[in-house]
Amino acid sequence: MTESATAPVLELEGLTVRYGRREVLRGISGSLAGRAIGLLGPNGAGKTTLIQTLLGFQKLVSGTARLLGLDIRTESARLKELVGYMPENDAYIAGLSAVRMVTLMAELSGLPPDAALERAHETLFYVGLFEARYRPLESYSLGMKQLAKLAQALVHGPRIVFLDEPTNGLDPPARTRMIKLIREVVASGRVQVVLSSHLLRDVEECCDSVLVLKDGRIVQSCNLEAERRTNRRLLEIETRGGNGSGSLVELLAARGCECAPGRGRKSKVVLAEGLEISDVYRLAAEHDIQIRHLAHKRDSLEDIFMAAMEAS
Amino acid sequence: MAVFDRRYRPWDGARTSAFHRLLVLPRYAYRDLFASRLFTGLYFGSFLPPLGCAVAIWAVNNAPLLAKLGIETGDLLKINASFFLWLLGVQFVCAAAQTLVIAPALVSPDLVNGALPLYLSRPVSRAQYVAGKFAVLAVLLSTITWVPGLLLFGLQSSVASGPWAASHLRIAPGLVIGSLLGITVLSVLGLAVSAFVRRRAIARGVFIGFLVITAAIGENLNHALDTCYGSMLSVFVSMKVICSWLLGWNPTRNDSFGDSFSDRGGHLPVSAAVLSLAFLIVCALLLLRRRLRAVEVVS
Repeated sequence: MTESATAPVLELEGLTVRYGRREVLRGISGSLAGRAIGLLGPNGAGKTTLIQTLLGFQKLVSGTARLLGLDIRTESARLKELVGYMPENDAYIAGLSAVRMVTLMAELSGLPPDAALERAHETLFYVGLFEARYRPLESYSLGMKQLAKLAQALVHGPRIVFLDEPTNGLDPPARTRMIKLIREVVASGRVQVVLSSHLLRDVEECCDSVLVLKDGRIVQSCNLEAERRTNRRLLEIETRGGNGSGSLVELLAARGCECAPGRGRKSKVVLAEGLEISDVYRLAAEHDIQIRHLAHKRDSLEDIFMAAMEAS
Repeated sequence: MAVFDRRYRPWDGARTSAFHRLLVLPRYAYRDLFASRLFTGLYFGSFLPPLGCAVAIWAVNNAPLLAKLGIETGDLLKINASFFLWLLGVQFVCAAAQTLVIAPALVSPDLVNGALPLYLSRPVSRAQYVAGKFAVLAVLLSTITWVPGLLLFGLQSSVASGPWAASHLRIAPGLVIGSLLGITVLSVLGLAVSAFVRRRAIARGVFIGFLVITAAIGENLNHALDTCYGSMLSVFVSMKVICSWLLGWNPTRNDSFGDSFSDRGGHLPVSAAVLSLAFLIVCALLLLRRRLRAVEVVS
């Protein structure tokens, strides 16, 4: 893992934001690293507000945050040179073609005019709008507008890109194309991505760490890669019978495994260090227990998300 | 055949300075504006009155020509503060017409489709955004107000017999200050109205309606209350009172160029006119501050 992937991208310290009297972010603190960070949460959880606060659009009531090591309050101008932003809602300049708008945005980010024009063409080619780049933006379909927003967020070569609900309103092929693009951007290793979505699948497919928000609070923060490594030792077991010396789950628990009841007769077991699946079969055979079902249970992002929602 | 690699490529080159970035908005705006025939026609048409004035100055100061035409010097118009005030008044009308076309075209396309977050997520602050848009108007309106005014002042100074410039020295700074004040009022008002209503056509209607209706209300107030302070509502009367003072001309005097003043409007104190325009500028700036946000918060 590169240094930039392990260094914290985002550090939050008691971040509080209010809309009028309503607290939208309630003193959130935490630190996140990773190439791609997913912001998850139900509608109204504060995902978009968090992004807008990091971009300086919302006024802080208290606390602060550091993005790429830069304070969002005192180093905002420097930070904005390094940031790309794809807003959730429609965002385009009526009357301009895609290539002209993307060039304008590149120049505003500090690229010289010639380089901005070249990169605008290049980025529009990259996102798949090359053939339509001279068309006025208002004539674009929703999917094309999303791609144009992505192009303007990438054109100036930012170090971090905020993507707010990038697959909103896209049909399945367009969504697949968008996710593929985001994964390619992440895989380039030259830009970090913060992806806000209420669609777990989007985050699961693109991100390596996740921040779950609910009612303006962080309810879960985890590294999906680490979770996936842990999942390799997670089993789902269903048994019948036994010689009265206890259930298989109890026997495994006595050998240091973490066990939890699952749905129906199924149980979840995290194998202890030193134990292998062959040991589970042997133990069952020794105690006349029938193993009706044994599978590696991958704790999906949905499980993590639902657990976080229930715990809060 | 593909021109580019379909790969993400970061930008590692040098970035332009903050000052250079400030000029990006005006540069794009000028290109769009001069692509419009309506605006181009209006803009170049605005140079006709100064051209006419230049011809008049040349003719008035051309003794052989006057002698050939048999015109007495006393019959001719006088090149004085009144002459320049008239020119400024005409050019303000042209400036208002141009603001009507330009201001909504500058702001509405950004607001109506939510493009402001795209600007403000870049190293461009709200103040810089407004400054960029203001600069577009300020430069264009300057080229049709105080710049030709000063050129005509220079022309008259060079062709007039006697120490004309020394006796009319107040006109030059008056032209510049008066024009800059008028440009500020029209530009800020135009941008604020455009930011407020967002739709280009409606913004134009509201802008012209504001100028006409406030002037009409002011005039009616003057008549109803037998006062001159109703004219504080009229941008044009307030501007004329201030410019008259700046150029050193008495607005209540009725000479060849001064008869467009209403009886009462001419008596409006300069301080009241300044106060009314300052109030208008502050209100417009507050409106811009409120409307030009990256996100709208409903609390």
